[in-house]
Amino acid sequence: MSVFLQFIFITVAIFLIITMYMTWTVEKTMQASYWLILFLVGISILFLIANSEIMFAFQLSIYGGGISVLLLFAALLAQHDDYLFVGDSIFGKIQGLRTQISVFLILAINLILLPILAITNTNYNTENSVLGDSERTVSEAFLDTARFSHQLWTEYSVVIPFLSLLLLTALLGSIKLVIREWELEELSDIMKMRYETKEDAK
Amino acid sequence: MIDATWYLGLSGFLFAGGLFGVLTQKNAMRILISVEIMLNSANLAMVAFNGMFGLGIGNLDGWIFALIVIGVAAAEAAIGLAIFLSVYRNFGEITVSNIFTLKEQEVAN
Repeated sequence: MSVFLQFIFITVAIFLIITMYMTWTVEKTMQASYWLILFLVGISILFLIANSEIMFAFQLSIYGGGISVLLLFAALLAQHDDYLFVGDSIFGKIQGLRTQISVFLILAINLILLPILAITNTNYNTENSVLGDSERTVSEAFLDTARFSHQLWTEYSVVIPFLSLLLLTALLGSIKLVIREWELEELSDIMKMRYETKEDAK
Repeated sequence: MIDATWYLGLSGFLFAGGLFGVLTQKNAMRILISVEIMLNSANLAMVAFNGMFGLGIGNLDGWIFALIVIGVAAAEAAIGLAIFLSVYRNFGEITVSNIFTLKEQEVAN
């Protein structure tokens, strides 16, 4: 059993390193955001095999679902960029779009299968603690989640209000930043020219 | 059983990779992505340490810290992307090496 979990760990670790490398090297920011999503899902699987079921859920929903969508929107709205490693490097071959899509799909399918395998092959009735030494049963696994929420609402009761306030401030701050109307004099020369050309066309 | 040192080793490697990205990338979006990688590796280390010292005795401080980091990362991403959009609207690009308004002001003063 533990050998199988070790296999999953090593596989995910290799995936993480590949996805991290791809975020640096792919041609477009949009593609880098796609690779980041795979990276975040990979991290969530590591949380799962570290017996942190609740962190797995948080990671998938907040990081994999929320933050990555934000990044995708920003990549859509901003200009695509140049990339770090130009030229024919060893990894130049995997920069082609078709190869990239193939590698992406293979990794994505594996990252979907690995947590399923990790869950179905985990025998919760025997000693399976990956990091701790305690024996865990199904009820104990859920007990950890219960302990987490209990600790969150008692010992660390300030965390949720703090995070709420922080996120509210971030929300208002981002709205304020984005809705600001720039005066033509404040803009850079390139943008000034671009806006002036648009107005002339009208 | 997976030893916690595996987690910590991987976490250190990913953190170093994220730092490399922050230091070498020119595009602001990619820098933000590298920061996310660094934050995730820190989360991994916290969950691993919690597994080493807390899970057996029912203490889950590491998970709570990881949750705080996730919340802070969400706020950071929201603000960061708003800044990028604002900069893009102003400069027409988000390549950080080409945006030097503060440098110009510093020289002028």
